[in-house]
This record gives sequence, C-alpha cells and structure tokens, in this order.
Amino acid sequence: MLSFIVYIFSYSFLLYAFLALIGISILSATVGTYVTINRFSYIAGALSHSILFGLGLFNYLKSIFISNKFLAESLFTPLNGAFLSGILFSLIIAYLYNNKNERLDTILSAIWSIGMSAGILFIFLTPGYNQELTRYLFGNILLVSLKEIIILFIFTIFILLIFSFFYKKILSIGFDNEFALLMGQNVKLFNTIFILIISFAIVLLTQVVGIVLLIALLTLPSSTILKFNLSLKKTMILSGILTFIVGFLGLYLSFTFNLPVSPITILILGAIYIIIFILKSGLKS
Amino acid sequence: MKKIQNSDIVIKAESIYFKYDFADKPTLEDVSFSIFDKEFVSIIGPNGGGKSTLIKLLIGLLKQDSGKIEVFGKNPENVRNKIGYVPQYFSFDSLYPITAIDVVMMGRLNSNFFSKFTKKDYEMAKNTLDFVGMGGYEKKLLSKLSGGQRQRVLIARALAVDCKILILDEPTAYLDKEAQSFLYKLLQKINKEKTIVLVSHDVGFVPSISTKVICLNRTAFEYSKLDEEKNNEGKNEEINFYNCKVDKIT
Repeated sequence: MLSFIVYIFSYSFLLYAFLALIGISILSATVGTYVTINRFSYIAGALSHSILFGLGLFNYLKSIFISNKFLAESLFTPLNGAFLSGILFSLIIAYLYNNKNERLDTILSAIWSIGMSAGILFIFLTPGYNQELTRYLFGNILLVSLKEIIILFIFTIFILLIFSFFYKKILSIGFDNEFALLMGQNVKLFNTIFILIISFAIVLLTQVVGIVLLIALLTLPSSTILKFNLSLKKTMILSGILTFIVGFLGLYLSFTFNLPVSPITILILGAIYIIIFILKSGLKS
Repeated sequence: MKKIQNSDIVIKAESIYFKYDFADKPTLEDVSFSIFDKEFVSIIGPNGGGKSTLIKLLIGLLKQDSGKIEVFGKNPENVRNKIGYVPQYFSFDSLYPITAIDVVMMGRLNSNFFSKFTKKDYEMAKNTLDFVGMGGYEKKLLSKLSGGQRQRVLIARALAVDCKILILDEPTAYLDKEAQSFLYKLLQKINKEKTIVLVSHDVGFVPSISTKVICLNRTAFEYSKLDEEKNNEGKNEEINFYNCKVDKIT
C-alpha cells in the first residue's frame, strides 16, 4: 500500500486518477444523497442510461462532419451530446414528476431503454472503432485527462455552492413537498432545477465511472450512511469520505492485481451496504 | 358556553361535490357545514368516506367540482397562511435525515425563491417547540423521536405558521393512551386561541372537548349539541345520528 502511494506521485495517470477521485467523491456524495433521500434513484437511472442517445448521436455526427474542424471538435463532441440529451430528458422527467404522472415508472423505463437503444444504434452506424464510447459505458478513472479533472472540480464547487445556499429548502421540500407547496414554495421549479443538476452531475461522472456503474456510486454510499440516522449534512460528508476510501482501495486493488477499477470499487461499496443493512436490520428485530 | 355569532364563521362549505377522475362515484356529495371561530370540530367517518379529500379541499390543494368553500370569506388557496395543517406523522420516510427544528422551520418558509431563514424565524420555531413540550429536542433527528413526539413536532410546525385554524389528520392513530391524552391536553391549550379541526376514522371516539361533530360518509351530517348534553348527562353517553354511533371520551 505504501509503495502504491509513492506511485501516485510518480505516475501522472495515477495522480490524475487520485485527483479525479476526490472530485467524484464530493460530487457523487452530495448529489447522490439528494437522489437517495428523494427516492430519485430510478430517475437517475433513466437519466444516466438515456444520455447514451446524445453521446451516440453526437459521435455519429462527428464522424459525418469530420472534415469540418469546428463541427467535429467543438460542437459534435460526445460530451456536448450527453449534456443536451441530459437536459432534454430531465425536462421531460421533471414535467411528468411534477404533474404526479401515475405511470412515471413505466415512462422512465421507456426513456431508459429507448435512449440507450438509440445510442447503441448510432454507435453501430458510426464508422471505425469507438473507444471513447466504450469508456462512457464502463468508465476508466485511469484514463481521465487534466481538462476533465478541471471541469469536474469547477462543477463540483458550483454544486457545493448551490447545495449550501438551498440546504434548508432541499431538506424541507424533500421531507414534505405538500406542506412546502402550502407555504408558497415553487416546488415544481425547484424539482426541475435539481433534476437538471442531477443530469449534469451524471454526465460528468459518466466520463469517469461509466453509465453502467454510475447508479451504484450515486446510491450505495448515501444509502449506507443513511442507515446511521445522521443529519443531512453529516450524511453527505460521510458518504463522500466512504466513497473516497473505497475508491482509493479500488484503485489500489486494480493497480496491484490488474483488475478493472470501476467494478471492483462498486463491489466493495455493495458489500459494505449489504453488511450494514443486515447488521442494522438484525439489531432492530 | 362560548357565544357564537354568524360573523364568527371561519370555514363555510356549501353543497360541495367532488369526484376523482378515476372514480365511478363522487367522493363528496352535497357536503355543507359551518365552522365558527375557536370551535373544536371533530370530523369523523369511515375510511374512504372522503375525509382526506375534504382536508385537501380546505387547504386548497384540490378544487371542488361544484359548491363553495370559504375560509375567512375567501378562497382556501388565498388564505393558506391562516391554516396550519398537521399531516399524519407516519406517512413520512422514517429514515429521512431532518432535525426537529428544521421541520418546525418549514412553517416559516417564505414564498421568495431565494429567501433565507432569519434569526427571528429560528426563535419563533424554537418557541413553538417549547410550547408543545419539545423544548431541548431542537437538534434531535425526527427519526429518533417516538410517534407522539413526531406528532408534536408537526403540530409545532403548523403553529409556527402563526395560523388561525389548525387542521389535524388522524392525529391519534398509532399513539398509545399516554401520548393521546397528552395530545388532547395540548389541543385544549391551543384551542383557547385557535379553531381546531380534527379528522379521525375512529367513529367510536370523539374528544369530549369537541363543540361539534361532523360525520362524513360521502355526505356530511352535523351534530353540534355536544356541549349541552355533556352538561345534562355527564360523560360517556352514546349519541346516535344517521349512521354514526359516537362515544364521547375524556
């Protein structure tokens, strides 16, 4: 383990992974706790999978307009596609959620699978080997670039500012939106903004951990810490610390035993969640 | 007995009809009643009798298909800050990480999107927690409190609104005898200054402090002579009216 820490400061890709892990831990713990306490994990699941549509579409358009430098390199980047499809699907989901659509889960499933299928179809149509898209699906923190780390940190700071400013309102509206509505709160606008924020966080996290494993990262640490009955702030902070420690362990195991880093990290988080769940349920009964 | 005048009407419902889109029959049919200032009104009726729907109409979360509801002579939506609503405590997520004081502070929420709580809001919230006998529990998480204590925190939240009418949805459900009697004493104290509307599915029991009982089973029957009968015959007599059989309790 000690030699691994020395390696971190000798290899830039390990150092980048380490820095990215700090950003990911803060971002996923903050947004993830919000997702968990509001029971939005299915919404987050639909969002994270459906953005493959934007990723695939823009990657396809990029290959078509490859001769135009501006279009190929600045406009039709998979990241832009992911952001735009994230915004589109967030607005649809927020509208349905706000209007208490009874079939929300069915519609979420539809968005989930249609978005993903369309994405896969565009990947298929795109000529050449799409390494970038494989990365979006399964993620690899060891491939993160300095530019991505900077974007991640800027957005994480932005999220922290929003969450600390609206802390009490997040707490109130999540607890009892009916009463918040009676108190004249614009609950619909609030939900819409925060579902959009979830989608932005998902797009940024997708680059590093991948679509398939993202939901685990958003829900497992906060669900584990919530079992301990702490305040929202403490739950967020401890979820971040848990994510960081397990992420670091995952990085170490991946580096030492040559295993893929995302699955190993998620498996450890899952194991901790199951153990805490059983212990806490056992204590109750 | 309190002298009640027509000008003291705080809630007036006139032949309300309400039907959910998915339902075959209307949930409320020709419901009329009046509630006067500082009354203690118990609305009882079986499950599915339309109690929750009626509450939602009174606080303006739903709109009736026909008929008229006036709260302080206005549309319920426009006087929400005069109504304190206490929902069922067990309808909340038991793991939700919120402290007692943060629940009560909800009663001080301001409609401005970017508004923040002030020190005054905090003090008012703290005072109402003291009033319901929950002083010292400010920083305690709701999930760590007993049912009766959660109930009182929700009452404190409604009081923090500085309301004139307190509406409670099934407040005694799942409470033990001790917590129930504490609750009734607390409500009696609140009743000195505010009108209380208590909704219960327990058709067998009505708090003896009620000045009026409204029996709701799709339509409403009003019975408002509880006070007089109490003077004549004492406690525990039975009242039979329409389909409701009521035992008064202390």
